Amino acid sequence: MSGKPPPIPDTITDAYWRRLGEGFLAAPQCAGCDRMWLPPSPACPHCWSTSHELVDCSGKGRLVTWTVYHRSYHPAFAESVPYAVGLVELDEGPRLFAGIDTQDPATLTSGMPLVLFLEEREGGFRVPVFRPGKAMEK
Amino acid sequence: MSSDTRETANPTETAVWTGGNGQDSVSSGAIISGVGATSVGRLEGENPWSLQVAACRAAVENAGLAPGDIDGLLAEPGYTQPVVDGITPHYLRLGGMLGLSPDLAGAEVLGGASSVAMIQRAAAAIAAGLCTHCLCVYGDAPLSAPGTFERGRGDDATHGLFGAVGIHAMAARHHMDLHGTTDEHLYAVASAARLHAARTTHAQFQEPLDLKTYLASPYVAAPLRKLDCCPVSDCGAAVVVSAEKMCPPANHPSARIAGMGQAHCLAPMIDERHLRKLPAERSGARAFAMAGVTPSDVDFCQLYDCFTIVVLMQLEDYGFCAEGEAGGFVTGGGIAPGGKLPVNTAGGLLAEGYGGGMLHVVEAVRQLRGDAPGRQVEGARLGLVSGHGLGLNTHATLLLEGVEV
Repeated sequence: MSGKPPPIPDTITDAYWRRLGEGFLAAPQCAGCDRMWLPPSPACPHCWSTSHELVDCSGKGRLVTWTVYHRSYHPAFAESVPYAVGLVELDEGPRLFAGIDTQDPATLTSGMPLVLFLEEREGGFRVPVFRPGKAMEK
Repeated sequence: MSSDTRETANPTETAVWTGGNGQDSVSSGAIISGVGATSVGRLEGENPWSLQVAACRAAVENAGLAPGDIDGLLAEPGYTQPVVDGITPHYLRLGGMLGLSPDLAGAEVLGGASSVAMIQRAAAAIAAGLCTHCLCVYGDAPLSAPGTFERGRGDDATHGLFGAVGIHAMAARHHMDLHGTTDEHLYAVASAARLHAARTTHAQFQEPLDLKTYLASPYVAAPLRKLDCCPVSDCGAAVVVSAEKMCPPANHPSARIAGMGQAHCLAPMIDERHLRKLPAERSGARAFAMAGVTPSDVDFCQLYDCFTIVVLMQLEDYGFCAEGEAGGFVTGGGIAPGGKLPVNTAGGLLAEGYGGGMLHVVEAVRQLRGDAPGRQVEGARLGLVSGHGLGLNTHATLLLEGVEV
C-alpha cells in the first residue's frame, strides 16, 4: 500500500469505485443515445436521459495530453517524482484523468496507445493507471 | 452610440442585451468610477479582512464617493476563506465590517474569473436599476495560510493531480504538440511580465528575467517551470462600478464598460476542446460584438496569467493572432512594453503579484485614465481585461474604454 490518497466516493460515484475495486473500469452507457461517459453522473450529459447502466470498458485507450510532476504535493507521491498524469481517452469514448506509469516520461507522445492496470489504495480501493502499450497485462 | 445608428450599422446587434434604465446598452450605463488596491506581496500583520476593507476604502475614496453612497457589495473571498463559513456568507461578514445595508449583495465563485464577473454583475444590476454604486472586492492573505493552493480537487488527488498547475501543464503540452510552441515562447511571456513590472513601483517581482535563468528554473509540472507560475501574494483590490449619470464630478476621467461576456466549460470530460481552447473564444466574441469593436481596436490587454501558457492561449482565442501563432506573436517583445500589443502593463499575476484578477481591472482603469506613470501606454483608449478560472473551466471578458466624467 502506497499511502497515496484514496478516492472519496459519494452517492454518484460509489458504483464506479466499487466496480474498480472488483477489477474493472466501467463507465455509464446511455440507453437513449448509446454513448458512454465519465465521470459518472445521474443523467447522460449528452441527451439527459436518466436511463443508463455501468458497462465494463476494454481498458484500452490513447494519451491525449499529459504532465510530469517534478514536485510532490503529498508525502506519498514524494518517492514517485517525476511522475506523469495524463488525460486518457478510452476506446469506448469516455475521457478521464489518470496516472501514466512509465520509467521514462520523455518517451510519452500524444495519441500513443495505453492499457489499463489498477493501483491499490487504502480501504480496498483500486484506481485506474495506464501504461504505454496495446495489450492488457495479466 | 444611439440605438438607431447601432441598428443601421449592424442589424444583428439588435439581439444584444440592452439596459433597463432607458439607455441603449450597458456601455452607456455603467462605468468604473473608482479603483483601490493595497500593496501586494508578503504583507506581515495583515489578514484577508483587513486587506478587503482597506481596498474598499481606497476605491470609494478614489471614486469621490462616501461610504454612505455605496448601495451594492459583491465579493470574492479568495482561496483561504470559504464563500460560506458554516451558515455565514463571506459578503455578510464583510458587509457588517463595512457597515453596509446595500440594495444588492452577493459573491462570485468563478475562481480567477470572479473579479471580472463581479464587475459584470454590478454593471448589469446598475443598468437594470437595482443599485447605483456597487463595490466589487477581492482580498486574500494566502501567504499567511500556506498550502491552500496545493490541494487536489476531489478524486484528482488519488491520481496525483494536484493544484491548478498540473492541468495547465497538460494544456501547455497540448499546445506544444499541436502548434510547435516552445520553452522560449513561454519564456517570452514570463519575461514580458517582468519588463512591465520593472516600470511598476509596487510590483512584487521587478527584476528582469533572462532565458538562462528561466531555463534553470525547476519544473513544477512539466512543461511548466516555477517561473511559469504566478506567485502567491497577499493583496486586496476593489473597484466601484457606478451608474454614469449618478457620478459626482470627479477630478479624474474614468472607464466605461463597453462590452462584456462570459463563457464556461463545465463538462470538460465530454468537451474535446478542453485543454486545447479556452472559453475565452466565446466570451470574447460576445464582448467584442457588444462593444462594436474588433481585436485590432484594442490598445492593451490585462490577461489573467496564472501560468504563462494561458496568455498564449488567450491571444489566440481572443483573435489577436491566429490559432497556433501565439508563440511567434510574443517573440521579440510583441506583448512587452512598446510591443504591438502591451499585455499586463503592471506585470500581471506573474510579476505584479497575485491580486485575484482585480489588480488587472485596476491597472486597466489606470491606463485609461492616463494615470500609469512610468508605464503609460500612449493613447490608451480601449483595453481588454480577462478573468480565467479553476481548471480552465471559467472565463470572463471586459472591454473598457476611457471616458471623461
